[in-house]
Amino acid sequence: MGMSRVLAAVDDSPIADAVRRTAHTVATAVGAEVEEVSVVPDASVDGRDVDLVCGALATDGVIAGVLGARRLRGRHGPLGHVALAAVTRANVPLIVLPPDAAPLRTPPVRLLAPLDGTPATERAIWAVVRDLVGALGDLVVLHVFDERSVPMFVTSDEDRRILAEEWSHEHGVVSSEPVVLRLGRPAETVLEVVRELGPDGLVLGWHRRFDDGRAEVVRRALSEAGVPIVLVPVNGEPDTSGDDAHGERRRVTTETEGSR
Amino acid sequence: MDVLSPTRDDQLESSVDAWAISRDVTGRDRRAIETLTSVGGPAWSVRDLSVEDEVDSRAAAFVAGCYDHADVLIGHRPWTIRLAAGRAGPERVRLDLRHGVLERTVEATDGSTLVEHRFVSAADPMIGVQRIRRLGPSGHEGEQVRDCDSTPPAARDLEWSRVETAVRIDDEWCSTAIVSCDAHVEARADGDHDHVRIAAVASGGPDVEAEARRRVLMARRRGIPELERAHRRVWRRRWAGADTEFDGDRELERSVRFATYRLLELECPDVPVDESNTPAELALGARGLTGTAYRGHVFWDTDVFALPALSSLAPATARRLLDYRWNRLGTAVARARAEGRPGARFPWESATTGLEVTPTEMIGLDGRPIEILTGKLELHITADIAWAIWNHVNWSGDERYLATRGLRLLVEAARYWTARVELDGDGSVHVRDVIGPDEYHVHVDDNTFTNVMIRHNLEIAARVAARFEAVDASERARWLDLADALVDGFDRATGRYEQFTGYFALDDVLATGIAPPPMSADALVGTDVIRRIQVIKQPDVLMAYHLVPHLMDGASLDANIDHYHPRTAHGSSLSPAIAAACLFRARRTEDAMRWLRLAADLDLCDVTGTTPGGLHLATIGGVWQAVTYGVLGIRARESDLLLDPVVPDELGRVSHRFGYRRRVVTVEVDGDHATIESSGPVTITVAGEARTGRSLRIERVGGVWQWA
Repeated sequence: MGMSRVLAAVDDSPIADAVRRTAHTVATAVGAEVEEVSVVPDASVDGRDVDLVCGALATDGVIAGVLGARRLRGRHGPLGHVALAAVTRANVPLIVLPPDAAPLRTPPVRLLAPLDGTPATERAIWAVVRDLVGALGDLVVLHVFDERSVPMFVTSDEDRRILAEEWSHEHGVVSSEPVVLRLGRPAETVLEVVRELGPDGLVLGWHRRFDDGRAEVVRRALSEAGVPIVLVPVNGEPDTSGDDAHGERRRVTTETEGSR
Repeated sequence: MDVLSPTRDDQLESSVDAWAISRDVTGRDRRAIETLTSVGGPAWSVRDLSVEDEVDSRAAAFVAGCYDHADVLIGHRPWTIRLAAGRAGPERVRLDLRHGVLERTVEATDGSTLVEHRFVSAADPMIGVQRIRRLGPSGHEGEQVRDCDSTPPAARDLEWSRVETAVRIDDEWCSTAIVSCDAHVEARADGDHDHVRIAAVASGGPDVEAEARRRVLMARRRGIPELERAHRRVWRRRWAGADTEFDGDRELERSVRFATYRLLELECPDVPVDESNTPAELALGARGLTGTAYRGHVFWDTDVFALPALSSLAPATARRLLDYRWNRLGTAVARARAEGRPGARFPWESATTGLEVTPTEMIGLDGRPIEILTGKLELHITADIAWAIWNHVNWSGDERYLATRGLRLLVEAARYWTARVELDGDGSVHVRDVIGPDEYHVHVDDNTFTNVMIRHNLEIAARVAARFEAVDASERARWLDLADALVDGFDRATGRYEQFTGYFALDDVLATGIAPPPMSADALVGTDVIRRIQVIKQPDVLMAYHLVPHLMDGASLDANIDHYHPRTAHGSSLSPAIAAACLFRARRTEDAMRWLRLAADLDLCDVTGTTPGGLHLATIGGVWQAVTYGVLGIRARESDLLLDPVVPDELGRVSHRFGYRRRVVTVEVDGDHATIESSGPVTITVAGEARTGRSLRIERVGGVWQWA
């Protein structure tokens, strides 16, 4: 046992220093120690680097991990094999740094947290906020409606204010900043809001699966957002109910042909 | 009953308490139910389902016409209850519509139960009473009850709670309000005790706190039993003059009754009006006094949706709503002057001063700013106020008001239009660059609704001015000429009105081509697209049919419903009730009933997700109109009432009681037979034939109503 630990998976790529500094920032904020795991390039031949990192993340006392998304800088691309394995297997939050991302700066920071409105995601996110993220700074929650869930009357800023307040209340949001409500495709909208608000990082809940076209928000954020991303594992199967309240309201309302 | 479910459950009909709104309150729906269970009157209102120290609450009391420096309706939390232990499970609330009392039951984890009764006195709207009865284990610490001495404390020992004083803005428009609360204990023989608080509101004077305390002391001297009796007496009288029954649908009956309740609770004491003094006006915002949404600001929601019902149910109150506009006539005149025009132009969004307070921009759901042009271009509000005045006089018979303030308002509005319209070389008169009720389309010319309402304004102003010999004959003639020459977009060949010039050239898209209505079509497709297509936000041409059917081509209602209804997104809470009313007039009862139910349940089921921000006043008034004008075809004209029932079989026997020119009139329709009972002689016109009496009968033969 001993103190809680934040694991920093470092290699010899340029992002390593940012990984270390982020790990120290997080550890300091939550009163934990930093443990470094060196990812040896030659180990990629037989997967020892993956086992090393994933094994370390699974040990008792590790409350979070920090690692780089991939070795190569300056272009969008998929996760490196170590990062891919870590994010899909780890049961603790992982802070993933894209190649060109600056390290997470000294708190307080401002983190953007897109929420899909599902209970499982919210439980996971709020637990991480309580245990980890909350010590770093404040959250700006973003919810993206789709065509089915968009409120039926959004005619003014007053409507948006009330809807944002009620969405916050309904989903247990505790933040000094109002919820941002948008309509659109989730991945694109998240990236738009990142560009618009310039947060210090993203907090994303996900089910740790990229297969069957899942996790488009996570995939594109890791590739394009350019900021540290806190990936929060969500247990269970993905919930497709989305924003239940508004969706239900719209489904039960009238449908009319309007003509004889 | 799930607050979020507007479904109909026939199996529960026999057990429906059509005189109460009852809910089990959970965390998720607390704030919507808090809105539904607000208690109040014309002066102030309280919403509070919190317990002490709960910060996540919208609990507040709102005082009418009391804004802060940012023109935001001020709300403060006057009454709380304290639980020594935590809540145990959902609490239960029951709003007794018949008596205007909220009962609330909160169970605590220590086994005790608090039962609260709360009302704002209908007999004295400045007074509110809260009685809390604790049931169960005794001797709990931390309760608000300080002692069990049954002797009421002396006045000097009273514990006063003073709620914030609003900011005085300036001497002319200042509104200061304070609520003072007195607490005392009434011990009971069984060892339990009631904790009673009396709250009072005072505003506008130099020493409002002293005035509020004085009111509390006077109320205490009267005693709680007398306060309660007086309160119930008033509610009995109110319901004796207004109610709706649907034998075949008790749930809808309850929903409609809830709307009527919300209108009746606004009733102001009927005090004589001294024309030389500024009367106490009633400022009624889009959400009334039930929430913070729209900050208490006044829109056409008040004049066109709520006021017509009050002109029937509480004419003195309707008069005070009109006086809100009268008191800001000077500002409206100044605005017209600033445009280089005579007369008066009223603001689209109004608050303390009568200046235009419509925001100029909002942020869309795409994160981009959207320019708001309604404050600049939605001119029909001035003609709507004129309509409201005339409608009020027809329903109330208040000729004295018409001869004085009503006349002046009508004339000033008419004078504004004479300068705002444009006369073309062919003699046609146009109104260019406006926004109609359909706010999706901006900078439009000759919007049918706007032009027809202006026509109505000009014609009524000329008629009233002639009656009182108030304006030169030449000016009156000019108004009538302009009214006659105004284009309204009607095409006799097709029977359709073109909503505005060029509307039919827009891409013809049905609303369902975007999503099932109701919906925010502009949010879904974007502003640029919505302006290029025929999908509209809410009834526009049909709104003209609803308000001024006599100025529209009566034979063409179907043609215009056929065109506009499928292209209506209903992206406004104002829309469903009006759609229902128009569909009833067109005898499309199945479709009409769906929209009536949606309107009636809009807040009860929090259909929009914004009920926590307050009740939708326009929808509430619209429901009354949908029943009165739509289902029963009742219209008040200068000397008679029109009657033309279109009652769907599913409603069974329908009884509708309302006020008309100091009479209480009850129309009862049962299949092919209907009766009209009135407390005084009334003239009713059915199918063009008028009869006068206190007790009249009609029957439907071959689908047409006629005198029996």
